Amino acid sequence: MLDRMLRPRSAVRAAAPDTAAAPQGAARTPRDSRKTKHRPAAKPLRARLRQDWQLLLMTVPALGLLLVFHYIPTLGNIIAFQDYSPYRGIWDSPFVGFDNFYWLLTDPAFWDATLNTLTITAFQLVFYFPVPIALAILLDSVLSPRIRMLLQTVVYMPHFFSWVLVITLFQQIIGGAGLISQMLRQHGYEGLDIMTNPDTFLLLVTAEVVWKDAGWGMIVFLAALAAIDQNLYEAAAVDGASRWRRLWHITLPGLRPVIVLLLILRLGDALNVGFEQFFLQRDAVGQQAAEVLDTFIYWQTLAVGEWSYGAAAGLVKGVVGLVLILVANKVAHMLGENGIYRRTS
Amino acid sequence: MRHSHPSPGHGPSRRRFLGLTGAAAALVAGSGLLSACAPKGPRPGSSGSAANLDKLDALVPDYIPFLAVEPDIPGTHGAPPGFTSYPTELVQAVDGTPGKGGSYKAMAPLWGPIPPGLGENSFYDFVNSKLGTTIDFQFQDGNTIIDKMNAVIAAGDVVDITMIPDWAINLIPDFNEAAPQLFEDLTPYLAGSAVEPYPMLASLPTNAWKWGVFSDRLYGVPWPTDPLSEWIFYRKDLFDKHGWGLPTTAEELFELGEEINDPRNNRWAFGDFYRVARQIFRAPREWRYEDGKLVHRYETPEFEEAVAFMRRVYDAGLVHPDIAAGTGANSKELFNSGKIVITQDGFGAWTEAYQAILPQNPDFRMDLVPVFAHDGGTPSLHGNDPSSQSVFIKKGLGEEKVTEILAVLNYCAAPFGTVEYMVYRYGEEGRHYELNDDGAPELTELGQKEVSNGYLFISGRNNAIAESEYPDYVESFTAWFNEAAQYTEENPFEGIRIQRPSAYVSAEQPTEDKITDILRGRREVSELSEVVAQWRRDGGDAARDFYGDVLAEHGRA
Repeated sequence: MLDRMLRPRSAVRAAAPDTAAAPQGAARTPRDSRKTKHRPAAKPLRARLRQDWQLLLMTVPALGLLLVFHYIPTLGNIIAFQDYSPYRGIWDSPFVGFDNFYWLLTDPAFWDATLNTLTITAFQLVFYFPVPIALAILLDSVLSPRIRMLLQTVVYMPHFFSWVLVITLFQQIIGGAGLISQMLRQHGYEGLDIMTNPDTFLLLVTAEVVWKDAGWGMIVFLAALAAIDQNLYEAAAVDGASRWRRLWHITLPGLRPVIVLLLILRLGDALNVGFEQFFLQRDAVGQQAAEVLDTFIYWQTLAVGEWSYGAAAGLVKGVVGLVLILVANKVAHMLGENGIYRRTS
Repeated sequence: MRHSHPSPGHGPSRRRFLGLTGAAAALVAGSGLLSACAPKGPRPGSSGSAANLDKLDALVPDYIPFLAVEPDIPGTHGAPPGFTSYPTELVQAVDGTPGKGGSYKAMAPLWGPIPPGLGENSFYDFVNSKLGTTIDFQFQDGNTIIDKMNAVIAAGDVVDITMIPDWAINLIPDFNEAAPQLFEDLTPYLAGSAVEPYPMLASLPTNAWKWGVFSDRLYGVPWPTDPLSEWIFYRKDLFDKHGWGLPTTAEELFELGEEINDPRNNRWAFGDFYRVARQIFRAPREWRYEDGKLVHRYETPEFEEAVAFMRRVYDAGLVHPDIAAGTGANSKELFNSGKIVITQDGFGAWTEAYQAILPQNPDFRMDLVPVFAHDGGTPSLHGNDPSSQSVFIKKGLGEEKVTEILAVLNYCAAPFGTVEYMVYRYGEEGRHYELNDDGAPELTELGQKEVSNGYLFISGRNNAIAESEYPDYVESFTAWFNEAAQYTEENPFEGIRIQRPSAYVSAEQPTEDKITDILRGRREVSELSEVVAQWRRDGGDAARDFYGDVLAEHGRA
């Protein structure tokens, strides 16, 4: 949720350079002064309003959407503290305090799902997160623009496939009756058992994520790579730095702020590993391996209409995510990085 | 990845588990605080309710039989009658146009592609002109209808005409509370002799109508069902070609599977047939009443035998790997293409497959395996509820609109052999369908594109096995049904509509998940007793008390 809250802010920031049509002074607001050490004395509010009203006006649609689709529905979280029935409504449903949270936190199935979710997150942090970075660096080193475009298109494309399609493709290729299994059988070997093996499920889902989304995740890093000053490479090459040294001392430090930013956002999403991918493969490997928090919430609450219980589970997820983001951001500050935000006063 | 599942001993393991994860819990409430704020009562949820049969007689319409044509093969033991040809003279069941020019939205599930919408669909235009009213369908994907309906009902956002499948109604919590708030009470329009303006609705069986009663009022127009709903199909053309014989015991079925199975040539013996296996081993559908006690199917030795048998079938690699890997979504395609030779399915699959496959593969034949029990003794089959769906009318439309909609539903309830049936089922002759040499309708290209089950789904009608356009279908199906229907198991709750307690509903999915684990070899069959013990604690025992009370109230215990 938090990343959504943050997005409009960066959108406003990104919009600022586009407002060249507005009086030049408008873009040169205190925002720029952040870079200089000494902030000029803040102007009175009315003066700032007069100066920035076009910019503020432009944020109204985004604010409206945020209000209607995020802030107002957030109030509905009150049902987590009720024994809510849609037929009685929020006003007439009795309050039950923290009962729903008690039931949730004493539900072994909830902890199973949490454990699965965290395991998958941790595993993917190590085995998925670096893949787009490596891909971006590799692709960036391809000199021919035509080949680079082709490669980019090929690795982006799976991102636009739905999970149903991705899993069907995997099933058709490496499934028990898939292409490879049938080829093996025709040569007298046993078929594969990858899609239905709960012990290797973690590898399977990570492979699926890499295939589907690594190309898409690469885009941000490609942009960050483009922003690195080419002179640095030339200077280093002149000084006799090898390819690896240049990677280590120029490329990776150049990417670091972006890597840290995405890492923090990913941590905030730690309890979110997706719904469809696990929902679809649940019967294949069993609920013990494939139950994650999102599918738990679906089965335990939405599928049986226990709205209050679901709201409580969602709230727990949100709060844990927020805490993780704040902690990770703090750690980033300690390490001298900007993180996702920094107080400017 | 596999981690140990907490042992079913609830108390200690839960505490230990909480201890382990105390840090995470502390983030939210603090583990000390957690035990301090333990609620006093049980976890809230709907406690379930049951319709009282005695009260129902006054709420349902009078039964006025209507028969358009005499069946060639009468049904026995409640099996549907068979018609081996289409009548040359159709009966006009409804005089004039039922509608008064109104326009209504209708929501129904649809299995299959969504046809072109109103305004681009000449089938809708034709039927609507016959109805004298405009019905605008909003179809939902039948496979996910429960997700959609749960949200629609909870939000109270229903359209003028809403069809909900019965199994979905059973999963919507507190539907008894929802119905009076959202839907029109049809009791004053239909109960007793009030039904007379709607003779087709009056011809629906009384026990089906009783299924449309919620909170002691009549809300739903029912869809009368066959007494049975599913069994195992086999590919008759492949059986004939290879000379395979039909099984009469579970052991023969297993051996047959081994004979058929040929993975090297992309042919597997079975799709999933877990629900049918339960019937082969005579496990009860849900509850069995014996020696003054209610026993759930999970608790019977028959169920355990069925699970053990299915496990053997999976272990021997007789089930297609795609089925073992998924939720069975593509089992029809695998069966139709011959990669699976035997599979369980609802009876509707028969005509669906013929309609789709015969044009490309005229030799394609399927049939139902004759009923049998695992030991060759008397079979015991799971009976169907008397109605499989309900059609509701939105509350507060006013008498004029409600009567107009009821007249439309009456039109769509006209059975086989009437003019109306051909109209709402097949459209306009010469345009959407042509009669073949035997007088049976065949959809034209336009019909294939535009005709849907929309009008079929907004009402119910008396069943018939009548699709004589398909080779041997009517003869084979009626013969099977007349034989099978006599073995329908006795259901202690026959005719009683029950809203299940929510703890009972919630306990079902985790239990079925664990049983799936056993079937697919991820747990041992010996763990079943533990799984069932857990189910008892999580709501099974409480449900037994609830169901016991229902039996007592009806003087059946």
